[in-house]
Amino acid sequence: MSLLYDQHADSLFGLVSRILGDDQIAEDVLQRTMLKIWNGIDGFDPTKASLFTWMSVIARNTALDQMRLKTFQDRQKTIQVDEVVYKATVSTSEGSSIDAATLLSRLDTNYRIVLEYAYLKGYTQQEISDTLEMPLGTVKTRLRAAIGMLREELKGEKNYFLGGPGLRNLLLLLKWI
Amino acid sequence: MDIAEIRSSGLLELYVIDQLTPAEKAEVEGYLTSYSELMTDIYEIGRSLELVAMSIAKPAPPGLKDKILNEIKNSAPQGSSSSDKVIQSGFGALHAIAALLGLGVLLFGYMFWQKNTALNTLQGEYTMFRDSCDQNTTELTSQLEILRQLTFPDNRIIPFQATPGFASTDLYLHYNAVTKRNFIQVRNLPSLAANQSFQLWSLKPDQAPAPLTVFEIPSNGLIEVAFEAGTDTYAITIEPKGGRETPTLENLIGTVSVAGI
Repeated sequence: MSLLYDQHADSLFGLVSRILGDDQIAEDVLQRTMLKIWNGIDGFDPTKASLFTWMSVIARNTALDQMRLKTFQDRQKTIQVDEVVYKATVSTSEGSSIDAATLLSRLDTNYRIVLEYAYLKGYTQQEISDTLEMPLGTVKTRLRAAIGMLREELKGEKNYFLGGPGLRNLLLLLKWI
Repeated sequence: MDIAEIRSSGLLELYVIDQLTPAEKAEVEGYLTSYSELMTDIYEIGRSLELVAMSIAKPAPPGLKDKILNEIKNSAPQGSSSSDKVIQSGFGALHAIAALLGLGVLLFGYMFWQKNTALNTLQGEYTMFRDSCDQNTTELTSQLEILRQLTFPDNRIIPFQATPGFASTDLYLHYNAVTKRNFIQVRNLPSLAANQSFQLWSLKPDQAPAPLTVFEIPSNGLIEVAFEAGTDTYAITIEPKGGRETPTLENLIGTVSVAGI
């Protein structure tokens, strides 16, 4: 758990904090998230998703469950997409740095907003369409295009990944220890 | 849907974001089983979103890590519960025996024999579980050593280039020139006949290929293989079981260059 926490807690905290807009509640949600991850690690299947993807789904769903509580609904509405401040650089697990700000800033605002509503706010495509008053087809196209652009930027960066059954075994080993 | 239609459908992106209905999710997982190359898409999409998450990362609150670790420790199952049950069971048995004394020594002897048999069974099970735990500890310690090797800062993860005849080959070399250890991570390997093995080769300029490790598909997806100093390229072929001294070039399934690393 210590290794998982050190590696991913900051990203997951940023994610839930961004969804909730409240660091104090985000702390509680992150705690619940990490415990869910730990207790549910047997359910992680590396043939279906990467470790971070799996963990971030748990984090997002926990945060979105919290956000659906009535007390959160008004607060969330006050958060604007353009409030997001991107860090200049982020570190990968191998210690190299990616200029995330540059990569994300290359995205057209129209595409980035759709990505942020879908990924950071948990809106369905229909909800994005309704909220942004944009045709559903356009939402689908822009979401796919936004992710596609990031994928293109990341082409060649292939050494980040450790998957396969070995990864799950290692995680179970770490839990056992 | 064929693979191009799946890729252009937008389903993969929504699968990673977890915005599909259970039926759609099952559909995508079916595609992943049918087209293993789609996992690359899944990982790339996940990596893109990880980048978004990393870009808004915030330092987690101080003290939270300890709080989580303590909660995990406190929620761990207590080791004394099974022995408590044995004690309680024994205690109950004593009451039963005391009541049965009134019915006769013969019946008491029968109960004693029954309990003794149960105790022996429990002791046998305990020994079996202890041996099993010892074996697991040995295996897990070995895997922990591999994990340590893989997380050394100088470790490099380099994909093998599959040859056209074996395009589905999907392997990574974990190469460490400092510790001089190599591991192969297997995502996909061609099927072998019963009398065949994979063999690793070291290729150096102006030298014949040097035979290295002979291996089967590792059950945990990871295998340590030989490190040969001065190697420019490692190659893998399919050979008769036990390996050969010279490679069968038509069975070359992939290569990876480590020159200059």
